[in-house]
Amino acid sequence: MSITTENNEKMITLMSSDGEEFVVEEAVAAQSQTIKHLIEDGCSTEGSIPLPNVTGRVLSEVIQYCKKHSSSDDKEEKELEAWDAEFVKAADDHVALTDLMMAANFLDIKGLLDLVAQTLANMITGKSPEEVRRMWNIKNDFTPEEAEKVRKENQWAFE
Amino acid sequence: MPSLLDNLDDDLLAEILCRLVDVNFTVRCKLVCRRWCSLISTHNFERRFQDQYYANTPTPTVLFGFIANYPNPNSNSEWQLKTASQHQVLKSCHFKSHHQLTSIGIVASYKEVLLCRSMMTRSDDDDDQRIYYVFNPRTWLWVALPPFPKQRLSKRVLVGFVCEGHNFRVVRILEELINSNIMTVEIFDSETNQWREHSCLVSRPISFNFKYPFTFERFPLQQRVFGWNGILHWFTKENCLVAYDPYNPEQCHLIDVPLVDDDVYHRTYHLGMCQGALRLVRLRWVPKYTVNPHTYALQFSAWKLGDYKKGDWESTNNGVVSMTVRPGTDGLLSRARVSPDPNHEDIVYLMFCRQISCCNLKTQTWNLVDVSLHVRNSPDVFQFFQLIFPPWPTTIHITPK
Repeated sequence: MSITTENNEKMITLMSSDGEEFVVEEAVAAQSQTIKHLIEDGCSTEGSIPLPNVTGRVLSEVIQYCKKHSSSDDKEEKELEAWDAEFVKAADDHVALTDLMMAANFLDIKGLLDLVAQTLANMITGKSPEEVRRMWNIKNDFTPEEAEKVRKENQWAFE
Repeated sequence: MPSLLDNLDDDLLAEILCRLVDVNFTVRCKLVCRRWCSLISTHNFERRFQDQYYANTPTPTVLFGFIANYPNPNSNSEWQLKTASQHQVLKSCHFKSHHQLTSIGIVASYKEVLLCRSMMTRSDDDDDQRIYYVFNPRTWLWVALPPFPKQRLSKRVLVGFVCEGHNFRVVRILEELINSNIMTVEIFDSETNQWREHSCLVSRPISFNFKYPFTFERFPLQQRVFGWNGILHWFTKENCLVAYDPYNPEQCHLIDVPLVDDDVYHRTYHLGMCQGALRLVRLRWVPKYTVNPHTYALQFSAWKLGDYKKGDWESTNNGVVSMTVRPGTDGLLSRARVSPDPNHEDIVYLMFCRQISCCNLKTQTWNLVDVSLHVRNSPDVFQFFQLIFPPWPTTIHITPK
């Protein structure tokens, strides 16, 4: 089943892990290399493409990103950068960002993966190990002796 | 509650951490938890970090340095190293070794790493060079190599090394008094922690006599090996560049250099890297008696190995600068060292009589690089090497026996 719009744009249905359906233009969906390959392999003719690793909530954000990036050309680079910054700001809680990153990785959308990875890296930059642990709820599994050993072995980075 | 990052596999976590830009900060992040520590410690991560760094830096800033090293005469375990950036800003780096160093000489550099040997005497002969150290001045980490086989002690050697990944290999090329098409080398492999002898077939006989490689001057230039891109390079008397891969020790490769030399005495050849290509610089010095008995025209000619595989040399830059030397030091011009600037084609550095001059081949001008070094008055201790600082410090490690 494939639907066509008035401008003859081929439409694709994407189905999230929790059963939500999204109908998008093929050009938008093809921002994802994974979906693009599925379409090329003829997997989309049987109705919707199931995406078992992505929830509806995350998928709707991914689609928002893909829509923006398929409709903009290179000339609007500056504008697109500003849009990207707003986009990740909106998804600013850590849950959404890590989910978004896994989705970008699974769907193979390089631009989105870069964007989210860089955003997460920026959040870490300048923080002490203690702050990083608190931010990500990471358990400090070093014994004091081990931590001291790491510090000693990498003395140059601590000066 | 588990950490949100637990959902991300190592590949995705590395994708984030390799974007931290500041290498010192990234290394400090090893303290966050065991998982981060082991991830950041892998060679694979280092490579990703470097790739990411170069992808975001359109013109990679390569730092380089010239070394004025030396064990502090009052303390056997203290050294000082100064590095110069391309902007000629000198950064000083003091480092201490826990090891008692009788006296130390640097014999080769690779990226930012130095190969040092202990010297019991001041002699240039190799009799006492039994212990080598590999040292990274950036991380202050060093390792001592086990002594090499003793039966070779009397031979003169040419020494070089390469560090790739977390592994390094030190190569001693043994002297032969007659031209030969068999090269004998001793290679130390950090993975096996052992020296091994190899014989390597050369496509035609070349000279392995390292005594006075280029001149018959009173103060000959000690020949050096330039390691770059995993390969060792040195220049022979036959105007030929030998390229030797220590990871493929039974073979070596000769690259002819198209040179026309009318004056075989007053010139020396120097190897280095510039803009990612191997560069050969020739220095000739011609007295300008009409001006001043101690004024010389220093003629620099540079060639670039454009296509490495084909061995195509391109003549790139030529330039002459005029320099007046202190009376009595004229004979030392044959010991001057030249190194190309890693970033700018027109710039070469000249180390002569413990002074570093930055020579611009285009404008044909030069200026002294301010090296306010605490150099002692002995001419054999000031050393000059091209150092290339990669975004991530090179790891020095020997697998324990």
